[in-house]
Amino acid sequence: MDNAKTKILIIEDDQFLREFYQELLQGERYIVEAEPDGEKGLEAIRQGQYNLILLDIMMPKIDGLQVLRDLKINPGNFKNTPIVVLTNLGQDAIIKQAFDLGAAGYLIKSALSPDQVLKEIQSYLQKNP
Amino acid sequence: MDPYVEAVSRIIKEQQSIIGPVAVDQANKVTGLSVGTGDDVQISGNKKQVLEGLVNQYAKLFGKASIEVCKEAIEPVYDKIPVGDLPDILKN
Amino acid sequence: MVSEDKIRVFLKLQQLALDIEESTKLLEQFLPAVLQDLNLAGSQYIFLAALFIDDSGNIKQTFFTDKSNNQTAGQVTKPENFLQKGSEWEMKVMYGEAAVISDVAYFINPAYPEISKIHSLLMLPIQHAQKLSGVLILARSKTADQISAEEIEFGEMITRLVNLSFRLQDTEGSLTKITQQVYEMNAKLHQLDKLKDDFVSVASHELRTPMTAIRSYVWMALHRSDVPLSQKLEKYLYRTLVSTERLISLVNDMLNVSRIESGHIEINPQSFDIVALVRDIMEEVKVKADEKRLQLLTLEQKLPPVFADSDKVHEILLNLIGNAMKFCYPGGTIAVSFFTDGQMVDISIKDSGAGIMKDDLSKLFHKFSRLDNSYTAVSTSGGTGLGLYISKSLIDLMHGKIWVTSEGVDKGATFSFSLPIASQQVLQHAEQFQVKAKGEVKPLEPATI
Repeated sequence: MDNAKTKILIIEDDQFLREFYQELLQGERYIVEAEPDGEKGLEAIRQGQYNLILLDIMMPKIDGLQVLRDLKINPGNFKNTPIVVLTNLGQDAIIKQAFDLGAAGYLIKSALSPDQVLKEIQSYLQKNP
Repeated sequence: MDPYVEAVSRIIKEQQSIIGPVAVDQANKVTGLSVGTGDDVQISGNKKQVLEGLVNQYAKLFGKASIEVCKEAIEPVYDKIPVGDLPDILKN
Repeated sequence: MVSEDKIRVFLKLQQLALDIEESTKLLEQFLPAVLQDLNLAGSQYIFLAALFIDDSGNIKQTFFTDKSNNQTAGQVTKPENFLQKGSEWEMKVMYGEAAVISDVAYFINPAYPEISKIHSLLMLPIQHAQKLSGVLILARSKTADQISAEEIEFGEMITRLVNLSFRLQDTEGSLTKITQQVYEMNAKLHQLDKLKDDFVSVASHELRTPMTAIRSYVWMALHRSDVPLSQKLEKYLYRTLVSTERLISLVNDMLNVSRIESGHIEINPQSFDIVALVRDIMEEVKVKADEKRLQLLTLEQKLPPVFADSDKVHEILLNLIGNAMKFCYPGGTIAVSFFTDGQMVDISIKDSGAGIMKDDLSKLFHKFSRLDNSYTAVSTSGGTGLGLYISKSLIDLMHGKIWVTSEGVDKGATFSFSLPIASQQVLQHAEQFQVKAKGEVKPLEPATI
């Protein structure tokens, strides 16, 4: 699978983490775009075509769950791209809500080392070429 | 779940976390109320009266502080019961 | 000698005093009944008053009842006069004797409508613990000379009931006050507990964002550097990374401890195959074990299913196996074995590592137990000091046991814990193994190795 043809979108409000994921994934030759909040994130999702979306839950203005909800109610051009939610919370209720709203999976940011993050992302991409 | 049953259950559980099993014993003294555990609540008769009776039962033993606790306990249920059907003692 | 029907009245009133439920207002309910029953028995008392004094002899409480029952002792009588020091009646009452008074006007407000009907007052001492605690005053329609020994004796019996009721009311009043105070304190504690939980949650969450950033960038510096790293630099970065991971683990553990101690952790037991779970975990940790050249052995055995919360057991196994890996020397072995006596299954994790001194064995399951660095130096990655405490807390919640044995320094250590087998008996009493959370249910933060 050619990473250079794989487009990933990261929606994360913390600048350091957002840029870190970007650098990490670009280091693996993926094409990475990043947005700092839910509103811009939604716009990007609707306009672009991505192979994978990493979506932070806790964000100001529009949070991750609202993004999922919006896409569910009003999919438009969006179809089938796996959305993996990024959470620090590990709260079952929120993760369950995310799944109910169509999330494909979740990553607990603080529990995974960078290489574990890479591995997880690779496995999500492999499931959905 | 019936909002009154939910209100009663929430109050009993909250009181239980403050004073322990006595909360269930006292709840069973209220006419029309039968309690197994905090989750096993049966109301018979006028629901508003039973709710009021419960709050008063705690107030008799524990004073004003317990009424505040009752109000806090039913906060999630406030919008499910119309204001007119709420006992005065629980109104804000 | 008091007549039979008066004794009947007495017993009836005594029962009434004990039956009254609303004890904080006992006397208010009791005394009117006393007056009524006395008059039904033929006494012809216009009113009944009771004064109670404190240790210094000052009046602390008064009660009054007459036919209309809507006036107070202070309105109808002059209470201080009843206890006027040096007076003839006061001296009698002090000695425990009844006094009969003819000079009614000295004691009663002339505006009292029934005053013309009162011709004498019977003053009876109310005793408690051999001391004068008050006086009972009965306003008689008969004159002072028209009094019998029986009337006085009966009056004395009645004072005992009045004393009993007063004591009951007083005790009830004290109890209610104490109960309310205790309740208020508990409510405050409960509130503080909730605030503390919220604070711990928010603090942990806020801490994790910068910690994740630090760890991420240090990792990048180590593994994705665009310039070659000197040995020194690599060492510094590596140690920073390890410390950050330790910090993250510590925050997770503290959060778990807080949740366990506040009772927010639920135990939902099911029947499951413990050997299969151990097998899974050994798979999970294989990569890390290979890094340290550690051999992992599972001495499998056919076992009946155990009855416990598999998520929590998962955490405990990760903790114990993780510890074993920390304290093993490179090239060492970690072996998991099982034992059962038919009731419980013991799971033992044996490592060939640094071992533990006998004296330190008992310190291990407490919070932040620190062992002497001399023989734990092999564990540069260290632990949080909370893992074993968390494991023990979880085992306790699941009705199991956890223990450790070691032959000494460099002789390795074996950590074991036991779980109940899912027998008929255990499954029948399944609810006893369930632990419901107090208030909100919270999950355990994942254990990291």
